[in-house]
Amino acid sequence: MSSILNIAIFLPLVGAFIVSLFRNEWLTKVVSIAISGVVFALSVILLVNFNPNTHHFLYRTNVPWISSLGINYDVGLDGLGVSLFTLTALIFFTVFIWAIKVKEKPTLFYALFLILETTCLGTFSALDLFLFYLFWEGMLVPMYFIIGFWGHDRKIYAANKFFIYTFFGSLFLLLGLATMIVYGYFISGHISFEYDFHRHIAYPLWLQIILFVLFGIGFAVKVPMWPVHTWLPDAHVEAPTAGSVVLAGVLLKMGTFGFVRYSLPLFPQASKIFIPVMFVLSIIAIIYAAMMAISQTNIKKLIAYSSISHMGMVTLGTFALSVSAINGASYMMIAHGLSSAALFYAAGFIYDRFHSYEISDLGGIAKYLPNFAILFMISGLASIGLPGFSGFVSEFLILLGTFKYFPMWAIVAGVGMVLGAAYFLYMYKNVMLESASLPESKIQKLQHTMDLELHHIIPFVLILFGAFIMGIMPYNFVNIVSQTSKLILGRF
Amino acid sequence: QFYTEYIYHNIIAKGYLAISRLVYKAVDRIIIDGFVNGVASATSNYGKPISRLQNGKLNYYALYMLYGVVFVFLLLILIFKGGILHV
Repeated sequence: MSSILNIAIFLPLVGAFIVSLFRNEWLTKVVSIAISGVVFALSVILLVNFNPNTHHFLYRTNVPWISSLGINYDVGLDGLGVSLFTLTALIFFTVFIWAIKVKEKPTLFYALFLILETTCLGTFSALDLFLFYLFWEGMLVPMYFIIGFWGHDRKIYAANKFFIYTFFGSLFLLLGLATMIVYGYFISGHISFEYDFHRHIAYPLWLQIILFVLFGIGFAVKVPMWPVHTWLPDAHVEAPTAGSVVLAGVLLKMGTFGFVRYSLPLFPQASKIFIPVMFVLSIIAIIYAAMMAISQTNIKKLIAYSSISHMGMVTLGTFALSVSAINGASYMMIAHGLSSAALFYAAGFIYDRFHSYEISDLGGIAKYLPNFAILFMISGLASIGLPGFSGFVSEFLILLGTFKYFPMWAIVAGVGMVLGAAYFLYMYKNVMLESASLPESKIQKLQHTMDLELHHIIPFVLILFGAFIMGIMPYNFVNIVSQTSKLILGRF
Repeated sequence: QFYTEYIYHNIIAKGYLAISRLVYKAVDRIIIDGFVNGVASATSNYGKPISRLQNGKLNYYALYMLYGVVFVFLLLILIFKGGILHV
């Protein structure tokens, strides 16, 4: 089984080299879709065969790589890892289908996305700190070019801001990793980058605090937490649809994944000290970002701010330090990955058809594009946490777990969620409904606009089906991540 | 209806929207993003004069190196003799 994991991680990278040899753009697209489809199938095999009763890393490969520095090629998946791995594979599969009509430099576009897929899958499965950092940083390069080449008007500004901002955060992470390795060398006498090795070191409190802050800055920029969030709306607005979907669906999860995988188990005492700080920042993110979302005139910016609000919910659950809250946070990473991807597809479809993201340019679409209206509504309701979809389960678990130990915070967060629902309904009303007040010229245009095509419907259906399945049978999925949560809490 | 509709639409909903828009412009755009972009432009503004240090003349480079060596030595003396670190 471990070879399946290795194949799934590196098949897209090999694919990127293969498609770059092709001269025929259709061949490139078909091969890319096939490769991402195979990777998705492999990830489903890994998910189905995952044993939820163990907290060990499964599908493990551990071979020496740079042995003089103690660096190994070490990959494996725990419950959270396998869930995010499958999510990543699904999101990329849908992205390749969606982007089939891309006109500018299609080969480069598909090759960059294939490289990005490898780095994302690698980040979630790396168990060697060096390998983790390599994948973590490697992801910036293709994303930079994706925003910079295929973006909209201010793409260079957005690409630079995205790159420099997240790179700035990553440097703190690098400093933290280096400190950790050096400390490990001092107490054990050999250099080791192994995650397992560092998990069993009891760091002194002062070092834990320093490391928590260094790691925390790196992860917080990626999440993004308030107040280091301003790169996200800019990056989202300027990125092409496929880039936004990957950014919201996969890349943001790396930050919260980092908190759960690294910060909590490696620095437990420091995490406990920082609970109030993380809670305040999370609550601010939930309420503040919900307010920012409703004040936007650009639909993509609105969805971007709604992502920040949801990620605030994830960080709240992560630091509530109870099994159900961490389960809920893990669940929300997947749920938000699905629902925000669907919402960005919807925004991308609107832009394809009407060439604008501004709410004032749109209106009354529902009457003329009914299929799109239905799928957009379902995506939005999944996002704001309607019962029956994955978002509801995750919000419920987070609030339940938080309420147990920190009831006041849970109540404030719950109020924030209500404000959150407002922005989607407000946007939907202004973009899709209100057809009575439309001018004649717009109605003419709407009547000649084509509804969803097959390459739009497949991604929507796959993603919403995932959100629906996770909403109606949450037990199986919570079961997968709960051993990870229990193991983390065992350290406290 | 005790003006509930009126209060809801004109005070709660519109008030929430107005406050949100104000906070977006004042806090998110000007304070937070202004700080971020300020740091970026400060870096490039200070970088320009400093980049003149790299003027291609080897004797200048030798001088900078000398400054650096003296600085490091002073630092080491301070650390080991000055009692900052007890070794």
